[in-house]
Amino acid sequence: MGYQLAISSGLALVRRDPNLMGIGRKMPQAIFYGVNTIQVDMETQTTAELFEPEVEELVKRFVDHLGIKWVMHGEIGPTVAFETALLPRWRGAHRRLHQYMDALYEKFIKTNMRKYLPGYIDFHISNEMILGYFAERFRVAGLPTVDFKGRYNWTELLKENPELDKWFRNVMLFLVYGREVPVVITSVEEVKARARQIVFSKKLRAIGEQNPNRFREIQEWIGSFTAEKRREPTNEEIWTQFPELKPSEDEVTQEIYEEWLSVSATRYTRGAITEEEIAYAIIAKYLETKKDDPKEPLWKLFFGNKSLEDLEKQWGSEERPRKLANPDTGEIYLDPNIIAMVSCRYILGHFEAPPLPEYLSEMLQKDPERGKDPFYKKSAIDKLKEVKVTLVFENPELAETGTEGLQRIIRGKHMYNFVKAAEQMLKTDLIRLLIDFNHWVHNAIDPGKEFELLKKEAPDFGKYVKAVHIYEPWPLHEHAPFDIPSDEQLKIYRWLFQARQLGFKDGILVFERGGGENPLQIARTVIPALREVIKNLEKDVDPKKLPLEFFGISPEGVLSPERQMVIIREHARDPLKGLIIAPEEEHTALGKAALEKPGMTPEKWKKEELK
Amino acid sequence: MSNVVKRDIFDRDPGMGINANNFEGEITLDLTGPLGSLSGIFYSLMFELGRRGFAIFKIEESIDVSPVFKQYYDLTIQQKQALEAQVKVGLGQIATAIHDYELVSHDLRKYKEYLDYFTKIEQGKELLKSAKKKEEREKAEQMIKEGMQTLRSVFIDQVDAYTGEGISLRTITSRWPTIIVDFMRLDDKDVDQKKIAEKYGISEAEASVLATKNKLFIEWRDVLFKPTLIQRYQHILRLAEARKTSIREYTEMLKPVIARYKIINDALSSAGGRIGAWRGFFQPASQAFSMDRTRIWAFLPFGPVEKYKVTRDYLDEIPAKQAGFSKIEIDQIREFLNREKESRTLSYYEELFTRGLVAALPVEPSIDDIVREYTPQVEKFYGVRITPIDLFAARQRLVNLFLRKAMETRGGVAYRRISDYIAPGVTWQFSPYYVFLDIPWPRTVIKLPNGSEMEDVMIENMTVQGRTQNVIIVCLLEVLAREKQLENYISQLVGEIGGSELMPIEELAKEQYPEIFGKPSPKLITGGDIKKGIKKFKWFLGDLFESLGRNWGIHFDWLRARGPYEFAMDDRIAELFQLETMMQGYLFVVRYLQNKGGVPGIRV
Repeated sequence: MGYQLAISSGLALVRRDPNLMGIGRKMPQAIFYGVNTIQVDMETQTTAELFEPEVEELVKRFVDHLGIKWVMHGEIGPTVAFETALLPRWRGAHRRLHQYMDALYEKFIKTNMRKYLPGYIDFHISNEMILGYFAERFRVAGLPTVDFKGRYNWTELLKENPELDKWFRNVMLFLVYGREVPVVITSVEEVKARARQIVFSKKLRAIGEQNPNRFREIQEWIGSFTAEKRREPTNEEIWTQFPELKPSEDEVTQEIYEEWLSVSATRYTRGAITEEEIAYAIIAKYLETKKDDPKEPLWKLFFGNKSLEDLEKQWGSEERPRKLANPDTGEIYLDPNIIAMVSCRYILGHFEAPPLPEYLSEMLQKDPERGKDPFYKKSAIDKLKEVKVTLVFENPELAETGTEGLQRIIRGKHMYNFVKAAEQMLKTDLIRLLIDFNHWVHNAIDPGKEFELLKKEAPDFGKYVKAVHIYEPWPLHEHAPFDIPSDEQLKIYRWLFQARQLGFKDGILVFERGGGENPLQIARTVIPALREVIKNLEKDVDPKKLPLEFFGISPEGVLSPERQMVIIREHARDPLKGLIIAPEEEHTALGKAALEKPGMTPEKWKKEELK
Repeated sequence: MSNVVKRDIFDRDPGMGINANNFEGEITLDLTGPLGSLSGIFYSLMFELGRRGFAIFKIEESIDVSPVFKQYYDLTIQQKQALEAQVKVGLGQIATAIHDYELVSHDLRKYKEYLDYFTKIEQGKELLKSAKKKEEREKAEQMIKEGMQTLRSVFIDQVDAYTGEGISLRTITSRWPTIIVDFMRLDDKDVDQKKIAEKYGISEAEASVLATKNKLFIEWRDVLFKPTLIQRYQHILRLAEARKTSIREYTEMLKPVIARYKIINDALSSAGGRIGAWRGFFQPASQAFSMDRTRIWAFLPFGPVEKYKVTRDYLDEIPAKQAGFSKIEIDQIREFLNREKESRTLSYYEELFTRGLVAALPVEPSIDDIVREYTPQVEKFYGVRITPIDLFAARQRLVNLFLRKAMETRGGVAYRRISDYIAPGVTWQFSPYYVFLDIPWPRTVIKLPNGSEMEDVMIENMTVQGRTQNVIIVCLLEVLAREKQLENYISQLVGEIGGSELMPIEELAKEQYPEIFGKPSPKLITGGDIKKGIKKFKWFLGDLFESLGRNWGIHFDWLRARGPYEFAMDDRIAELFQLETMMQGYLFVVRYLQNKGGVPGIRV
């Protein structure tokens, strides 16, 4: 097995390059770089390349005739933001996932061309804007959210999990009510008082309907009290006299809960929550409630046996714990670990959730035959298991300036937890990881240090890594080639050596190019550099003991001293050029005289001069 | 007549000198005879003047031949044209030689520049071996560093640059911005990448490149570049030396040709000559004739009756300052002579001058105000620059004339001592007074269509003057200036001198860039300023009394006398001196010509 060197095709839309328009044109690009594996980069925000008619025939031709292997980089950005709770994004991403699965099924499985499938499909593990900072909630406030199964009526999840429901009613309800019910409220007590009054009125009305005698009795007592005291009795005085009329706390909460549901039904959909932070907090609590459920391993993977209460003390202090959701202050605190955990759950949720009915209908209209094939209605994980293509999730690039390192999932340990959870929950090894060194570097994360941490936290991290993206590890996101030899080459070797120590011993090293470089630039520098990297990695050469050949200094290397010497010999006397009587000519001083001889051409002399 | 001393001197500055034309000492002679007869007389007269002790100098010469006189024309004017072509070719050869030399020099400089770097390194290494003090070691290390870093720069820019994009040091600075600086810091021992990385605190990747480049640099420097440099430097040096000799030889070869060209002085080359031919009755387009003109100066000292009757076997030796040379002039002349001494043996009196002494002339200071007054006019008239060395040379010529020995004085033996020479005729009287002859000799040859040929000499006018030593020195300066004119002409043509004042090229460079080439030689002090104080007052009184007394026939010459020469015009110059000049000079020449021309009854 070992390592396989690959190059990425680049994106057509960077320079409107006609040679990169479509998978069938991107694949043969490999031959220009001296490698036989190519990562076909899908254009951002379109899946049309997947559906290009007869593209599978081109793939077949390149695989069969040119021996090209291929992998695929899926779209990036909000269209594939699997980690989001925002309803419109979730639905779009969900549709995309099924599109990918369906397209591969149609092109390669139904046609018995399984061997032409890509080696992997790469998605960024996090594509949506950051969460957890106070101001962020307002950027998309008003967009309905869904749970990890894509349900926008949050009561469904609450109903499935009484513990969660109870927590919701006690802690979250007032935060949800305050945000979702458009009434003027000044405090939780006011909401409760108002609800209590409504419940009391409802009870009184119910007695009036169901027990007229008792109702009259109540009325008479109120009348005599008023006559005697010359004022009407208070609710509390009534409830003392008639305890059955007193609203319980549960009745008050239920009233508030019902009001949220009915109001949300009029504004969005019943049970809607329009703040992603609240959605994330609910799912976090959900995962805590499921921490002992082997089907929901995420909490355990992230926090072990700790409870939410433990964490809240950890985030704050014993005396003043920092609450995930604080109804008194209205504050939601999303710790980076909570965000990463919930994001993982959302991604995994896409694999469990059925395809959208609208999507099924859309596709059925395009191809009525689909109705006969049960494949299409299956969940994404079932489809994946049938197609058997590996999906790799990559640490993402910077989504927007000023948020370096704040992506919902970016750290190695979080990615590790994700892939471990996927393995447990989805019972598959078809979900793996891809590491992009530059993505870490330009997100202010030092890959070397990250690997050091993983050594303790996830010593088998490398086993879950299918591929690595390599290019200039600059602190800015620029897909530039690096040279042989260069500090960057050495730096990358050190990181890969660390990854190898963590178990990354097989996989694909992809030089991910931008769109601008001339293939020669890459073939001349990066490819030889990476070949040396692979050669030495496979020999387990310690970075401190790398041979000169690693730096391109060998007879066949880029910096071949022998080759340089030939050039230097040819130009050794160049400093003497420009002289008049005995100048060093292009054909040497001797050559000047020789060229004056009849029949001696420059070409002929060139052959002779080194003899 | 002198071309520059036109006044009689004694009238305005009595005692300062005499340049007196005898009123009777001027004659026009027109001699005609068969072809060759007058030429014979000319040469006969010249020899006779010599025998009588006259110093003879040709001061002018020109020729005009009508093309109709083909045979003669071919031999003279056409020969000049042939010489002209030869001069042009010669000048071209010199220019080519200089050009070639400059090209070789250019290459030589470049090779030398590189060799200097290697030399600096070697010198630094030697110094380092023997250095005991810290400063010496630092200096040695600095020398090695400077030489080595220059070679490293050359390697980077002109050799390694060709190894290509991404390989050459110049193109990998984007990878390691300090790699060139790091390469410059290396020494010959830095060939292991790990040690380099550790020693200079750089990455191993960069160190691997540096180690390779350093090995390549050392091989280039020691195996490829240096041997080539050494070998080619020797070849080019050889070429340069050969070219330098060529320039010198071509120049020397051309000088006689130019001299020959210049000596044939076409009368039509001067405005006067052209007008003469245009206006005269001769018919150059239709008649065969030739006209040549020679002007002779001849002079001989004479002793007034009561003194200067002696001759001297040797001359007194006096300090040069006493002879009238200024300190600056003395220094300059000595410096010149000391330089000359390096390439030739100096004469006795030249050697003497290096010790600050000169031979005394009858009157000292010989380089007096009169000489200095007229020197600028000599420069102006002849278009040459008169230097203190020329002044020394002119004076020395007079000294030499006094040292001439007639054979009789040596007992008929042709004895010769360094700086003395034997001359026919007489030993000069040790006198500062001279009879001076100015003999124009315009000769016309006419070849008539009927075949007859005749020769005519129209001596118009021959004059005689009484002159003092200082005027004679001016005359000798004129003679020297004329010679210099010729040499200047040649030197100018071959590019040895230049500028408006015709200075040697080295002097011209000094004049233009004294900061770079050094201070130019000081100019001759001219126009003396000795008339000061009491003397000046005395002369004023004398001039006043003379002007008053002249009306009554009373003379105050004694009060007016300014210098060492005779000032008594009426009593001595007119009555005694001019007798000598008429007798020894004028009457002798006139009689001689008349006698040779066949005038009956004339005896010399």
